[in-house]
Amino acid sequence: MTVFIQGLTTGILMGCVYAFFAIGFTLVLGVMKVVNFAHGTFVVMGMYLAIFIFTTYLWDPFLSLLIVIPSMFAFGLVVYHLIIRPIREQPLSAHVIATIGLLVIVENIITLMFGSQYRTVTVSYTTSALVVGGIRMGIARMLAAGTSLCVVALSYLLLHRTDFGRAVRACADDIEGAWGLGVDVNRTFMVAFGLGSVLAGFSGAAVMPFAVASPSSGLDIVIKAFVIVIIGGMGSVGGALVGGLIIGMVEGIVSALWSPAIAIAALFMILIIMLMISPEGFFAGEA
Amino acid sequence: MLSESPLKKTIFSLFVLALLAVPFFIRSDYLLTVLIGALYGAYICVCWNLAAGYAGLFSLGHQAFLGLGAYASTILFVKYKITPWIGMFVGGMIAAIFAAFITFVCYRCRLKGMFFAVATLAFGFLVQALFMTWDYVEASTGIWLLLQNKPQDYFFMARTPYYWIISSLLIISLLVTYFLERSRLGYRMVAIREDEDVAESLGVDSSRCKIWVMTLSAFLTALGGTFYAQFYLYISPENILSIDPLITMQVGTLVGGSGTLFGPVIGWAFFSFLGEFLRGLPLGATAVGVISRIIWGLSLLLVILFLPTGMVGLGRKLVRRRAREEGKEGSL
Repeated sequence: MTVFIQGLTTGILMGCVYAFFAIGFTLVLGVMKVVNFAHGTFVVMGMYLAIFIFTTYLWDPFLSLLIVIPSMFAFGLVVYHLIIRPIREQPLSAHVIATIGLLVIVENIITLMFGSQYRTVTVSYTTSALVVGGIRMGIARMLAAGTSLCVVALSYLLLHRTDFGRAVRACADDIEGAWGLGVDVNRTFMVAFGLGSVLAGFSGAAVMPFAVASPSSGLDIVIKAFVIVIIGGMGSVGGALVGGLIIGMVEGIVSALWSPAIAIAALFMILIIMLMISPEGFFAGEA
Repeated sequence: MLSESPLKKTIFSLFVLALLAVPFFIRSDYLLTVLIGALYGAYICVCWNLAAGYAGLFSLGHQAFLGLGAYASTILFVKYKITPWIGMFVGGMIAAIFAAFITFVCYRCRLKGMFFAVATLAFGFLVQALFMTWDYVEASTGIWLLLQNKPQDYFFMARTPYYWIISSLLIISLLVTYFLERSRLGYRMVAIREDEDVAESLGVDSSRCKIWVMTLSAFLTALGGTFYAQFYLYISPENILSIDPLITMQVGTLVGGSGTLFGPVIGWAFFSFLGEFLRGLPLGATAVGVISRIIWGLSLLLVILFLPTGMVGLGRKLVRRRAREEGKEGSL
């Protein structure tokens, strides 16, 4: 029983983190209808920026956000102008190819700069944990999960309570309609993609106190984001949280009771079953 | 309009002649090994092109078919002493059955375009994850085969027999593509790729066409998997079931020209030359791998942004422009 609850607790914490990984992805997919296979690699970029800043200046990964956020935003804008805008109206296979190309490039540039070995960041709270009734909760994981919840709430408010958010949702629903009402579609998309990149980099840096980074983990992350979006619905921030918690719990429980490798297989089974039942997602349309 | 068929036949015959001539000129084992690797890459590109280029079935799970082929023949040989010459067809059949099943399910659940891509991607990763934990197939350790001289079991001490096998496979796959291009199925496939709804309204049974093409492509891909196992003598979920072969298929096909007969061969030939060129520079083995991947990624981007029809499309455009200019001069 303790094993089960331990798995569930870890799963919930990791679920929040996975939701964090997926928000930027679901935002870009829901708003611009662009599938960004490189999203996970953007997360890895955030991780390696945090690692670089930690090894050079000994800044805590959360402090490094001061640098990670603006640089990821600038990177997102460049990618939008060079790649995303020209392919936005092309068929989806073009998105897949272009963003897989981007994934391969970024992943290998990171490998070239940092090597392909696994990297960690050891801060004062990396190994400390809160123990409640025999259940261990890592401080660093709780911190990342808490940040994730805050970011989910902020993104929700941004989308529903601000003019920018209304413009974004208008573009998601009907580009021409939004344009007719005076929304600067191109600028909205540009900022939305920049925001998606920032969220990716932010989540990467926020998990560094406990996560193990490798240049090739981008693909795993984007696959998880896919499962989350297929469960939660495209463009739905709340759905991303629900989807993240579901796959986090499944992964936590299955790894605790059987093995982590079977947990990965279980995730792909969920993805396939979800695709068969409802490819648009259960929470689709809520935004 | 330029008639392409005689041109294609000429290029095809020249290509076959060149393939036949090579072993009589190349005596170095190193060069032959490189060439076999390049032909193997081109072969899997041609197989993927059948589904993705001609039928628009943008599969991201072809590495699983490759792996199923390799594992089926290897397991049959290691555990049951069945020669891989038979095992390769068993592997092909297994891959074909899976491909037919996936395509059927995707059709029934209306998964098209990106959703088909994601569903096949999930299938590929699922197979990899399962093989990682399945002790019967040695899980993540992988299976080593012994280098031995047993032609009856698809093992050769020399490189040349492998060269003949992969060349024949490549020629067969090109012939299949060539005849498919001209068959009823081929025309239907292209119609589905261009606009599925219109094709269906004209009476094309799109599910049947898709299933046939995918099955054929998976069967041929799996034969390539067996070749990989017999030539490189080591298979594991981390080489043959990883995303690497899939990236090879995409890069070669898309850069060369998807939906064209020679596109995948030309594309992969280009990247093989590039790889060898980089290997000649004083860089170190890991750096060569990393840099060539960066170039792969860049070429994918450039092709999508500026040259959607790939090298073959560019060539056609140039030929047509020259023909038009000559026509103008003639009329003057």
